[in-house]
Amino acid sequence: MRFLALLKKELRECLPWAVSAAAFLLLFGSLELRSRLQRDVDEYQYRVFERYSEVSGYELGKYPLGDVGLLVFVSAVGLGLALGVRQFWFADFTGTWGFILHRSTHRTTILAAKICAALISLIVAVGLILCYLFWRASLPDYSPVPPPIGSLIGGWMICGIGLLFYLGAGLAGLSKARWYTTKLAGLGFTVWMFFTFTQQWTLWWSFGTLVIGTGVLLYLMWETFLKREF
Amino acid sequence: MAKRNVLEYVSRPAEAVIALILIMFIVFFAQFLVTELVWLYTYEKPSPPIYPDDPQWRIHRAAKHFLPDGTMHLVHRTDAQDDGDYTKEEITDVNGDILWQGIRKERPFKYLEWESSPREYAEFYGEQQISRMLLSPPLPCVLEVPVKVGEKVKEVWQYDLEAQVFAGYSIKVGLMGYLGANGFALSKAQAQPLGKFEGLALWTDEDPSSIVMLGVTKRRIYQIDFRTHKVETVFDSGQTDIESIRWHRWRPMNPKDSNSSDIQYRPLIDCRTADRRQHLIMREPNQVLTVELPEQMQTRQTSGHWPFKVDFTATSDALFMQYRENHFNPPKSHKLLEQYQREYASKPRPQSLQLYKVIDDGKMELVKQLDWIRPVWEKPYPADSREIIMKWASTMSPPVFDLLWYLFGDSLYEFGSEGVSTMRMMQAYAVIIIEFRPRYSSLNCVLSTAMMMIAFWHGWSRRTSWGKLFVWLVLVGAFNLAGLLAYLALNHTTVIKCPVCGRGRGLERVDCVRCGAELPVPERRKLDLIFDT
Repeated sequence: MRFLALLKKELRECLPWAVSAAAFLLLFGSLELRSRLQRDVDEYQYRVFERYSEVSGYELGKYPLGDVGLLVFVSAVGLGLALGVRQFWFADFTGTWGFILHRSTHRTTILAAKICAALISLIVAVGLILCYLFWRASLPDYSPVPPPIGSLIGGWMICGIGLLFYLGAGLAGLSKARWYTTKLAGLGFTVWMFFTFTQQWTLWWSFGTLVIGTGVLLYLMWETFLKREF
Repeated sequence: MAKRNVLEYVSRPAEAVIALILIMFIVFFAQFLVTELVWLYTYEKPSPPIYPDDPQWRIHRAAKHFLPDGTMHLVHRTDAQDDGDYTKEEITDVNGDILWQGIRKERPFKYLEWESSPREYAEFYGEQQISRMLLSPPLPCVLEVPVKVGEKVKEVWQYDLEAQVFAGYSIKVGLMGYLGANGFALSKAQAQPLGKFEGLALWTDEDPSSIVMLGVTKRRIYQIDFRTHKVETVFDSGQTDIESIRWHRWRPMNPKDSNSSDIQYRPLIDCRTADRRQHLIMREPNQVLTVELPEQMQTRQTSGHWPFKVDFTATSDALFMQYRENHFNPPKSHKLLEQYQREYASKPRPQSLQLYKVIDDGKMELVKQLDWIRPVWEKPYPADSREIIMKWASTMSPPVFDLLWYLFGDSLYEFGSEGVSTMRMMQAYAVIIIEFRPRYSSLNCVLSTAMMMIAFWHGWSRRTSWGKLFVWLVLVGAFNLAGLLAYLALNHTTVIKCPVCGRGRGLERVDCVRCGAELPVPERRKLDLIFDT
């Protein structure tokens, strides 16, 4: 019951950020899909190859959801960073931090409630909006060539990057080290894991990188949260 | 063990590893930046090389071409720079007698052309890489081939990664069928998978709206004509993997270009398989010829020394092979390559160019051979200054990289020098180790030792245990500057003057490391309510 109460409280505090991210993705994602539809038609109509020439694979490849992947990335990372900073860096943002910390509950429960609230926000605000955009792009009236399911799976992986940045920002916020020593190491590690994640050639490898990065950050955050003096 | 201790034992090393990795990347970046900046400001354009006036050098440097009857000509560039068609040339026979002088465009001889790798050949992994979804795609995320009629797109063929077939969508009616290994099929279940593509080459013919694809899988080569929905298995290697393909005039040539040569060529694909056989697939008429070359001819050389020793070409009259032998036999270990290259360049080396005619049963008949001696190669221009600067910058690199090079050098080299790897990040780390390793520099050892001494001096008064200090010293010694910075980032604690012995002591430890005196209790003050209650 205490966990649920904490979760509700955290969700309430995450709500403005999650709604902002969802609105951003929905608005610009829809616009991108609309403009892509027109671009596709133009590209197919006007893409001209020379006679007797070799055609590069680059010219025939495309990402079926256009720049929606980039928008998902911006939304997920933006939301992750905002929640991480909001919950751990400026923990007393709404003046409830001291109250929460001195409740008769274990610190792990408090941390779990915060992380669950962030996760739910990411899933709802980014993941579900992405599903809607994918469904919209799959309708025959949108395009005769539907996007492959891999686009949706990849998009969800990109949502996972948001979680990684959330944990990185949270760890940096919790660290008591000076900024020029290891204060920002959590964020640095997140950026490194992000590059590693993007350089994998299969979604499975990307997923593995995400799990490892999340696991390490989660562990360090938990350990820091338990031992830190507030 | 208490739960708190377990957390400590795992989290402290994890923090140290993260800090070390991040600082290492910062140090690498600084090394790279310093190298590039110094190189930029000290760069001097090398003067053009001046070769000794030696007849053997003249032969060695000349381009060697064959006429279809087997006659060999040596083409000497007389201009200092290559100006394409307008380069001045002098053509001699193998005895050095001048046959012609003029600009390349007006050259009166038509020489044999040889096979090459497809120019736009793309290694296609067919995987959905995340960076392709975020950034501009380096390779197709989804391959879509449009088929036009006139100016309008009629169909789009999308490659289905999971089913390994092409799904065809008509712009008007939507899904219309699939192209698999067995040709066109109405349902996905009926279409046989083409297999995972290892490489693709695409081209247009006289109709630029119609694209034809040559798709190479592990064991098959397909040619797919999207306009006619025709899938042709050009070659099936059976149970052996295909290693590489090269081609000559396989795709249709512009009649204007193909008529410029008097030689009538047959379309050719040279497919090399893992069992060391060359399969020569020819058209006009269709023919497949398998050639087993001697071991010496099959060896692929390192770059800069003719990676392929043999080239094929097929004319309407004969099938030719040219074989170049420079007796450059690199050692099996890449760790010895640089040394071998220096030794190779330091002595005159016999060279040979041979022209063979391939008979229908796959046997070779020597047509022409030219042997010469390549004189000692002395670089007529200074060594690359970037290498010298990098050598100095790498003195700050972790000595542990040299250990890794010593233990796994060959694996790292092979992994790092792969053209495109599915594990690009790991490949990048291998390249970093190879490029930034200190190359057994004695200055690197001195600097590493100095870093250890600084860490020891810093850690002596702050140590909480000898074991921890020892581990840190080992890390600093192994990782040089990055190790020292990581150590300082994680171990810097305030030092106070010990009230008993008067020397520095860290606040992390209760007793002084020198005199053993405990930390002084703070003096009570008037308003110190805590002590009063």
